[in-house]
Amino acid sequence: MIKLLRRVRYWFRKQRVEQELVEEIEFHRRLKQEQFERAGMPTHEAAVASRREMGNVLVAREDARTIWTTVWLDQVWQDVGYAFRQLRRSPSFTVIAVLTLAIGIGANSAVFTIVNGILLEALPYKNPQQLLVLFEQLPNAPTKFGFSPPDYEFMRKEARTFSGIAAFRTIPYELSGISQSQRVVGARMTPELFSVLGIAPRIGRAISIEDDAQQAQVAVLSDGLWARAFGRDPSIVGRPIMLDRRSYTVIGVMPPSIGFPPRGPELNGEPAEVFVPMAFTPAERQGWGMFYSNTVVARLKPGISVEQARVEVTGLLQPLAEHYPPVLGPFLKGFSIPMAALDEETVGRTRRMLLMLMSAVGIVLLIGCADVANLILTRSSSRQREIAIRSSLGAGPARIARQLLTEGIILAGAGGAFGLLLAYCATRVLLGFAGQTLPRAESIAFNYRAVAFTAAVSLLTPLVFAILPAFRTAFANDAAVLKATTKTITPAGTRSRLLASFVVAQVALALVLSVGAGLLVRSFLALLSTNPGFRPEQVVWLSAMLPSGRYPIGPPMRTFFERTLERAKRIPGVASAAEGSELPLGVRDRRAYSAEGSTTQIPEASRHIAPSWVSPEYFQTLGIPLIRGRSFTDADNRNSQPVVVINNLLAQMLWPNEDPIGHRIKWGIEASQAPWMTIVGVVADVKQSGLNVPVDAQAYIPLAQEPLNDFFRTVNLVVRSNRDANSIISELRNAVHEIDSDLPLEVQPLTEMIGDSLKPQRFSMTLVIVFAAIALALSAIGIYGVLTNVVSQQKHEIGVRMALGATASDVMLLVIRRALTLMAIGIVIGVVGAISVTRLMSTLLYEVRPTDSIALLGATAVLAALALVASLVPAYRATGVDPLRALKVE
Amino acid sequence: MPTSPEASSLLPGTLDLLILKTLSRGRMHGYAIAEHLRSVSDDVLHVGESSLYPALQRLLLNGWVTPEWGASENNRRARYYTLTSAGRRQLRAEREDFERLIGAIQKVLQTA
Repeated sequence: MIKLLRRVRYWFRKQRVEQELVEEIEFHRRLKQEQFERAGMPTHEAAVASRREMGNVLVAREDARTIWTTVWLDQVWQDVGYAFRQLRRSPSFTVIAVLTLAIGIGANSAVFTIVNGILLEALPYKNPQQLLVLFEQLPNAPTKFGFSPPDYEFMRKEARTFSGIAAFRTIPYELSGISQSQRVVGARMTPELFSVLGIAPRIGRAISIEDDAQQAQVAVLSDGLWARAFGRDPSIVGRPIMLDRRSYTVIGVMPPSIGFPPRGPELNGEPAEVFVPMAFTPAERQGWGMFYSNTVVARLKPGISVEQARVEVTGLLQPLAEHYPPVLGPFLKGFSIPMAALDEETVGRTRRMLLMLMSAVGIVLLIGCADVANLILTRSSSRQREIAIRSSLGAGPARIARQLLTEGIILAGAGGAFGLLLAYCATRVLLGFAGQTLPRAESIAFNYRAVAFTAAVSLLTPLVFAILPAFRTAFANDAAVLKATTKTITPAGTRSRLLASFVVAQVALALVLSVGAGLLVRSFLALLSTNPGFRPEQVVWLSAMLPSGRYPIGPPMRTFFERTLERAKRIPGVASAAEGSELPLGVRDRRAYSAEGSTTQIPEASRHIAPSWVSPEYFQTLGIPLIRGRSFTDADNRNSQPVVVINNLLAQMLWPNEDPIGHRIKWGIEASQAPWMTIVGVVADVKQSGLNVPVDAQAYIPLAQEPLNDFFRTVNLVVRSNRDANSIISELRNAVHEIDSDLPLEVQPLTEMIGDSLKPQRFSMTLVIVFAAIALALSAIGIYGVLTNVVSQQKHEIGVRMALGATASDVMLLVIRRALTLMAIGIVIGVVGAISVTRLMSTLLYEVRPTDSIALLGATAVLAALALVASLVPAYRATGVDPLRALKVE
Repeated sequence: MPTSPEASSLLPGTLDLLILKTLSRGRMHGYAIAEHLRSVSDDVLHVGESSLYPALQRLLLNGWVTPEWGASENNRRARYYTLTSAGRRQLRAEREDFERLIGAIQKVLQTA
């Protein structure tokens, strides 16, 4: 072992070792010369004599060298040197092969970098595998939701399987008092959160139990916000900052690499930039059945499994339910507390999409490998004489195979090096493009793992593309090759069969990938053509958050709504303007309800409504058609009868054979304190939660009739005008700033909101299209290469045919027929493969079945057309064969 | 002219043994090793440079000697070799082997 190290060391110091040996031998000679001189020889003669006596110094050096190098190592060195000479001799082959491999390997590394950051890197908390997230769920609610304060307090006191438990929720804050006020993501957290996660501020301190108990206005900054807003000023600790126009004292700053919460979960899944105490109010602590908005994070005690925790928590459900006021009893039927590992909750929903991308790039690399294998095989026909000479000089087949493999490894190594460069750039492009749609996007970085992955792939690819050609070439050689004096050697049967099977495999793989891309395109088009239920054109959307410091709950908020609406309507060209608590595509809230006098039995799973609180011109502004009854007016206020407008789906569900106008619904169970609301109108269905989410039961309530709370701090002002939407943006911004000059505003055309909601789908679709395009191009190159080879090998046959009167079109047909045969086999295999593989994509598709015939036929047609084009050039070239020349070479 | 067998005609491994034995007297450079072998063997063993230096490299590779540049008697840069403890062990082992071999050869020669 030590010996091996010495050998390796020798390799690095070879130059120096040799130099020393030369010097040593020269010293030896000088002593000899002096000896001769002492014996009376003249200096000149002594030098000659000493040199003569020394014998062949070169041989001594050579012998000394072989001591250090084993034969094996030396041969590898020879192979490498030989391979480099060979590759340099055919630069076009080398460039094409290296580029093909670089694209394949680079694409794989880029996608791996993303997969690594999202799925493989551990979350940046202590023992993250022990961390769980807990939710609450009711059987008649569509999604799980967060914990209410009293439920959380109960779990904190009672649960024994956790070593720590904490709650938090993210809310937007307005950070003002700096050069430009801005919206930041804040997290209200219980004081246990950082210790449960095992994280701590890098400077200053964390939020303490006393801070929470005293409702202290203290804040811990994220590294990002510290850098962005305060230029990493370390003296920020102890200084006040303005959040929602209230003064908070900065007590700490988090380290750069630790963000929380990780981006991804549906609830509270946006990294916080500022942390403040949760400080539940007494009302919140007694809010049984309310405020279900807190995410609970728990750490399992060592040695406790998730199952054990689940059993314990399930056992706590009954005691918890007994704490609820009796009137809420029916509401708790089937109540449960689902839990999930924190990382699964964060990235779980993206896993399938990422696996699809990884498979897609894997296919690209395989097709690229087939291309390179084809190139090597094709080239080996022209190298057959060279190889035959080498084998006749004593190189065994294994040695020759090793030589060819070495060439493959060098190609892959070069491909990997360029691929790494490509991947580095591609990762940046992808991140810029995917933006905030990927979970844990902040943890995606081109790091040592990406480099190691690239190295591993570069080492593995030669096994795919070089082994078969290497052995085929090495063992198929025989003396006949040497004897052949002409340049054309009768096409070796096995080689053309191998070439053909590579092409078939390429076509099949490319087809699978193209069908996948086709399905995603079809799905995306289906999404785009989905009627969202409203008309976003000509509408501008302004969103803001009313800071609690300036707008206490009550009249100040109402005044703001009224003044902004009134001011917006004065902008020239504005047809109508409205406020909404939440806009279509973004309604997260679901509420249980009761309907008066409905005889239909509604399945439990749909006994909930997506609610929106809106101002009178809401339907008109968003272009939501009114089907029956009336929309709201200014007369629907706190002093008049509570009214509600429902969507068509809910109307059909509750009163399929009656006019729903005049019926009443209320929130919660029939016995609840909520007032009955009379239905005054029915509007068309709107996609409330995203274009790919089925329409839900919806209800609209007049904003003027609702007692306001913190939920209504989110302002969505929508304005419809007869002007170009972009031209009105700055006027709208100025109008609102006239009322509150510090308020951070986001203003954009409403059409952009639809585009933004499709970003995740657009990302995966674009990527798969790019991969499919590369796959198609590489297969086309493969077909082209193989046909060119066939033509050059069959020159003789073509020459004979032409001499016997075959026309140019006959010759072209001969070549194209071969291409079509290979393609047909590939397509049959590819269709079978596509049908069995795309099933796995079904959850990624919208209104398109995995066996969609249009995607299947479309992909086949594109592939066939491309293959035909790729075969035309070689086919045309075949017609240029000069029969005389072709026959003469024989 | 005395017979001067080149090292290659020695029994395999013998040259290594002779060099190790020579170096057990202390550090020496290549020329001194060759001269020592020649004079001690009464001019019988002429170790040529073409076998001496490869042999020294072999000993280096095995870690039996360590090289070190130093000044020669007349102040020239010379490479001196020193026996390592591993080299000393090797010398003992090889010496035993060699004596066993010589004993065996002599027995064969005497009884034949």
